Amino acid sequence: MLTTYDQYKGQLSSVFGKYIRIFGKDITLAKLKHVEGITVAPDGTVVDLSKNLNDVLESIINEFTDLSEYVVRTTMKPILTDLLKQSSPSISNQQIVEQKPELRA
Amino acid sequence: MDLPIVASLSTTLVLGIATILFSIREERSRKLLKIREENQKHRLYQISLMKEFQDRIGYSLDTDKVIGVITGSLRNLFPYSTASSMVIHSDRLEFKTYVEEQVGPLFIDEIKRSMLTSLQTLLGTDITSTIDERLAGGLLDEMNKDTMKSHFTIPLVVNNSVVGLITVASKKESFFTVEEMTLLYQITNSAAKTLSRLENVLATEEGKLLSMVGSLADGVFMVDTNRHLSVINNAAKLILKINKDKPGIVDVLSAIPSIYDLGGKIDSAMNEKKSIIEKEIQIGDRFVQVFITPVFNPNWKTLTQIQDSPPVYGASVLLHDITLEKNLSKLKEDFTNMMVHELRSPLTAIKGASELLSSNKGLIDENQSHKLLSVIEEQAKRLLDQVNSILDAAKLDAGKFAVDKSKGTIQKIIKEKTDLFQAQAQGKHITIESHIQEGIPEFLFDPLRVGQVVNNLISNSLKFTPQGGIITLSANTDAMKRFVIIRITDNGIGIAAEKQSTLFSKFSQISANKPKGLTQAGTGLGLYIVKGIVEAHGGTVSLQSAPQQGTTITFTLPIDSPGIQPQEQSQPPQPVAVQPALQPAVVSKFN
Repeated sequence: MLTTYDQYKGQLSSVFGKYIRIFGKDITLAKLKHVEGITVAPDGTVVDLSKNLNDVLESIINEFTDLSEYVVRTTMKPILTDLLKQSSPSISNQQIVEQKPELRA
Repeated sequence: MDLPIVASLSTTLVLGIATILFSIREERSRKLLKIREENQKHRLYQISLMKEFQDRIGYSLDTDKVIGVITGSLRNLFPYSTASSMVIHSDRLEFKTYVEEQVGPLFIDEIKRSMLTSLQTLLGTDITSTIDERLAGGLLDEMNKDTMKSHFTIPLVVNNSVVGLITVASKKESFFTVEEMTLLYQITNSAAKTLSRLENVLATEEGKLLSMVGSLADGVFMVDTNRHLSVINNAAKLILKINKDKPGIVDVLSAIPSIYDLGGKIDSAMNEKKSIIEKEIQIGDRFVQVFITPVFNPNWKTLTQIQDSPPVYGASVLLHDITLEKNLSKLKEDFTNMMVHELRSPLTAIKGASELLSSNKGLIDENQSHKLLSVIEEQAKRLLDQVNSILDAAKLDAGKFAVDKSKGTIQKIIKEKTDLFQAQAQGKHITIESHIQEGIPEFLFDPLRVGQVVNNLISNSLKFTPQGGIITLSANTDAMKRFVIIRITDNGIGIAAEKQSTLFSKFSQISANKPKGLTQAGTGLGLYIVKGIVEAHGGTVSLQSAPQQGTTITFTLPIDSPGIQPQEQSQPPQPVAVQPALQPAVVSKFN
């Protein structure tokens, strides 16, 4: 079943909630301000999300990799896996990790 | 309006605009300069921090130290109220806070809760470990009710494992800039990467060390100052008869008899910083030398200037198995005792007979006198044979044994020796037969020494073949006519398989158990010398035997140049006929 736009918003809200708990609200919200195509409430809930999800995800990854590659990898993996499955059902999780640098480029 | 006034106003206006423009430009320049200064300051901070990592941490994987360097130098970067760390240990969490601005317990508690939330989110599990708390810097003001208004937390991740957190907090709202926070994240991540690389290097080096220790023939293990077993190799496990994959110090200490107090000696070595050697301890059926050596930190001088002597990491224990040496030493001692006994026996007989002759001069008839002289002659000959054997063995040991070759026929030697023993064999009702292939050519060999070999082997067979037995000598060449193969076969009592391997060794007679009821005199060097003579000719000697089925000893002598042993021909043929008979001792058989 394909993931809907609202489900992505929910998944990202959950990720940002984790970021706030891990890094703190100040740095998380400050970093999210630099991400174009997304509007986030002070509690990390995604209020608005651009249709161009790939660009938004790329920007999120770029911003938060500065803070912790490990955290970004572990939190974003489910979303990226899901996104990749939708475009190519045969691609495995391992390939997703390998393709991440291309996404960031 | 007057022209001068207009001109004056215009000039003022132009100057004013120019001043404003200049001020704007100056302001821009100042801002740029400030940004550059800030960048420069951050860069310098980063470099100095990295240098401090290098100086203070070196090759240590101490997360506490890394976090300590970061939090301790933070005031050079930006102002803050507190800098806290939470480090994960196997049994607890260590929570430390450096107080830069006066805060109260409420503030500290908020930080702790925030860090615990962060850690639980990172690990995806509840944390139930005990928390050790420490404060540094300014004192807490118990009455201070300030709360944490802004903060950020940096996870310290080493090789994909979260090892700790750093949280910087302030009493003021939105106090930290994104640039400041990002810089600290970058520095911390850079330190974590260094730690990860260092951990990998250390893991590789540890792997190499473990491989090296594992390949040692001696048993080695190492304990740290807390008496934890850091490493143990297979040789040590074998000596201590430990079957576990990952034994503990208790397994090791309980494998060593408590009277040696190895644990106490390890402690002494570490406390007194001195090596301890135990010359010999018995562990089960093994004898072991134990070397306990304190292990020091080789870089202690660069780490601290306070201590007079290097700090001890632990102690290494080397177990050198001396069972073989000890057995060999006993074997040599027994050999000497046996030699003395063997040499004393004929001397005693000679002394007794000669005393009898001299003290009873004129009282002894000719017949008795002749018998006594025969005893003296026989015992003197026995003594001479034994002394010659010892000398031959000594030459073989020293690699100085030489043969004097001349052209001759093996048929002649075999015939001579067969004839020599016929009378003795008939006395025991033993038949000696010889089968010699026609056409064996003349070749170079030492007739005296080869005769000694045949002599020795027939003599042995006679000793251990019962009445009615048969001893067969045969000689033939191999298919290529490059070797003469000589066999001496008897149908005596044979030799058990487990005793055959040591039969040609120097000390074989000592270690073996002599069969009940058979006490053969002799030095036990016979087969050792046989082997030496045959090998000096470039030949080989081998044995085929089974209890109660007889024995065949085969030796080869090269017809061509000595030392060349063709692959197939070098293996002497299997013994042919083995007839059942009684069987004497293995080791004492060849003397």
